[in-house]
Amino acid sequence: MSATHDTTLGAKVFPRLYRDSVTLMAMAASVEKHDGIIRVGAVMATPANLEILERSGMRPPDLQAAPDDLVIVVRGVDDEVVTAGLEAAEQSLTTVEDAHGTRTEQAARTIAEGLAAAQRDGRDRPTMATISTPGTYAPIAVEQALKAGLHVFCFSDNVALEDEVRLKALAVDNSLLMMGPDCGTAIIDGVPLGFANVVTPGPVGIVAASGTGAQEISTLLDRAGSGVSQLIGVGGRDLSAEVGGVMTDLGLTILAKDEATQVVVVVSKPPCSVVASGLLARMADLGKPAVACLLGVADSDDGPVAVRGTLEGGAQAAARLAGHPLDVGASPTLPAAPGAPGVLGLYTGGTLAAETSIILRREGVQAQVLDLGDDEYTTGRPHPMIDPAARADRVAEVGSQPHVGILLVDLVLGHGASADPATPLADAVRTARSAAEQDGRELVVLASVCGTAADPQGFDAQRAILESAGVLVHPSNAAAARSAIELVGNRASTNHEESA
Amino acid sequence: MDNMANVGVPVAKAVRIPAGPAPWHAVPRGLAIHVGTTVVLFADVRSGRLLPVTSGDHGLVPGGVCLPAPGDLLAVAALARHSAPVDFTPWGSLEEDVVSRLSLAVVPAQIDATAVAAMGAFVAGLPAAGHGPMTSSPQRRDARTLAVAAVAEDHLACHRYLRELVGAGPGSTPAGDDVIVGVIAAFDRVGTAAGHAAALLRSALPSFLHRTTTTSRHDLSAAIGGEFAERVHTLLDALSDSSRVPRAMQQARAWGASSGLDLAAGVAAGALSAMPLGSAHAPVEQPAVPGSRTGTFTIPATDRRSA
Repeated sequence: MSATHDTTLGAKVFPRLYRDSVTLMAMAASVEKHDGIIRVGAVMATPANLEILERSGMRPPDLQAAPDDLVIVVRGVDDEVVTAGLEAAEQSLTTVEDAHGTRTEQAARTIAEGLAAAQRDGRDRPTMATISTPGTYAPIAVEQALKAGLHVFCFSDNVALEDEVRLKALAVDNSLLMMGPDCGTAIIDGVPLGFANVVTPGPVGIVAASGTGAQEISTLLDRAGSGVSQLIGVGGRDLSAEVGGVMTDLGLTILAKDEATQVVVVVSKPPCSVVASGLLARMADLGKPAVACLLGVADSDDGPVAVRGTLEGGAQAAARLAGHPLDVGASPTLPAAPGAPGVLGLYTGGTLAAETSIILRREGVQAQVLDLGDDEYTTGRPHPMIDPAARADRVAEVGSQPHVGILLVDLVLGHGASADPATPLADAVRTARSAAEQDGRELVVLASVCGTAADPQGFDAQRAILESAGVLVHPSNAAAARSAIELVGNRASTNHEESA
Repeated sequence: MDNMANVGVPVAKAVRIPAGPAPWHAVPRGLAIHVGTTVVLFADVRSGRLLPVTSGDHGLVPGGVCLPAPGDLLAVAALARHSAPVDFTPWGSLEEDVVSRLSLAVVPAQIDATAVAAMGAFVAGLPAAGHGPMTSSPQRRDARTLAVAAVAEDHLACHRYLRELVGAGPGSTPAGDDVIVGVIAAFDRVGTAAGHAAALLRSALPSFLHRTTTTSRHDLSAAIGGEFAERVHTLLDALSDSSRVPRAMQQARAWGASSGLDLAAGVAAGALSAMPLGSAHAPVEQPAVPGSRTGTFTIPATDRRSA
């Protein structure tokens, strides 16, 4: 070691050792975080690198190494710290050292590493990769996974449309699922992926171009005593003209052959007309009863496929076909009229927001319905299903908005969601209602809980938390929207009577 | 060592090799010197000559064998963990119809100024990461000065820059070497107009090869001989079609910690310096493509899904 001023410099040479630069950079960054470590370098001991070390004040004077040697250099506050840093660096470079002294690398960070680790550990070969990287990098990881023969669950968004088209073509060619991009929910062979609820296994198979849409339908089916065989997410753009529904088509093929599936549901926002007609024809040909839940379209039983324009309607149709009719249950008693005419929706689930917008619009009720999980609200912030604080802040502010008399919210439970989404929402509702009350207004808050009795957050407990804050909890998102319509009607009637 | 028992390499269903004699003829028996995630490197027990074995993720490299599936590479990697040399002669019995030969030589082609500018803008916009010898930013910056010096036939400057670049920077194939490979490849792509520049670097480089790693020497020697890895060809193809640049840069990001981007820096520098065709001796500054620096290539600050 050598000392300069108040620091010490140490080095260790690993003769003829190569390590991928990714590993070296990660190791250096990790060791640099140790207390007392000032800087770490890990490079091949080429003359040019030794000169760079010299210029950086990182070359011990007695260092002897050849170009094929790996040298790790550590500068720290004293000998002890530097020695510990060098040991940590060496340890992170080597894990299993077998009888022959061959070193293998540590925790898997790529598709190939993951496969290699599974083989090395004697585990079954993985069959699926879940990918949740920034969108820039997702296509590479997806491609590697598909080429390795793995199905893919791609949670990442901000993936270019042309990449989605290309990768789904690759997936279909290899009969592999490429769920996504921007796929939030799936349940495959009973394994929940992403944001998914604990749903009873059952006879209904779902192909979903919609995360919370799939969650609402699957939880309602669970409530009906029906249950779900598979929930295949395909990403929100799959039924666009550009993508052409290729993954939806593969999902339908899988469900048609799946013995556990007796009823098939597709849930999506309305696809383009060309894709829609092909989709309905395909569903009619499955050989199993089918429901197309396409948000916003008119309900229809005219053809071989039942068409429903709401999530609740889709769930009811599927449950009936599965022999377990769904009774969503009664909605709570509403107050006479809200204190103001305005209707505001603050949602964490995009499709739930969309369903509410559609139901309100059909009845001519004007409302502002926001999907707070949308990109414009989540740049630099986690999704509100993961971190409820952002939505809660907005809810608390509603009390000081005198034109808002009805607030609609959703509460989504299940894997991936916050451990207790109800409490921050309930606290915010109390704040908002108190502010409105002080202003002489009543703020009516309508909600539904998207979840099952088996979800980790505790369905009944979460519901009770909301109700304790004065939230009127409904049996479904559609039911909450209908209550908003009724309240608006009540207020209009009250105003009419007052002015008469 | 000659008396050590060999471990026979499993016979693959299909392999890709460079055009010319099969690599296993030159390396019939090899000891593993590096087991990586996408490449396993063997050195012949007698000559020390290298045989890189890769799979599709990495692509074919000069003097190498590319196996079709990652699982095939895993099988070879498993063998590499034995102390006995690996016997590659079983691959010699492969039927010709399962052996695909791919020329790794660069064919000159028209390059597109928009594509070159886009690649150059992307590389210029890369944030500096790391420090001291752990960053390849200095080598990427030096790519342009090396390329300009070569086009200008400034022998002294070329020697100076090669001395600084060979073996410099992070990676078992140091960043400076990747940059040099990229520059020479770009010159070959431009063709005759940059032939003098490529020839200058090829004549000067051998005297610096002792300054780098065995692995990198393999790549530099291949470049001197006119052969480049499939990855490099991907970058070169993007020089002719600006619509390919974003995807090529996307792929390059995933090649090692910085290797792909270092290669891209070299390719961009070589192409920028050698344009336009017909003004072979004058490097031409290309205007930045509007929007290409931030609109296309900026990495989102945070992706909500990665929270």
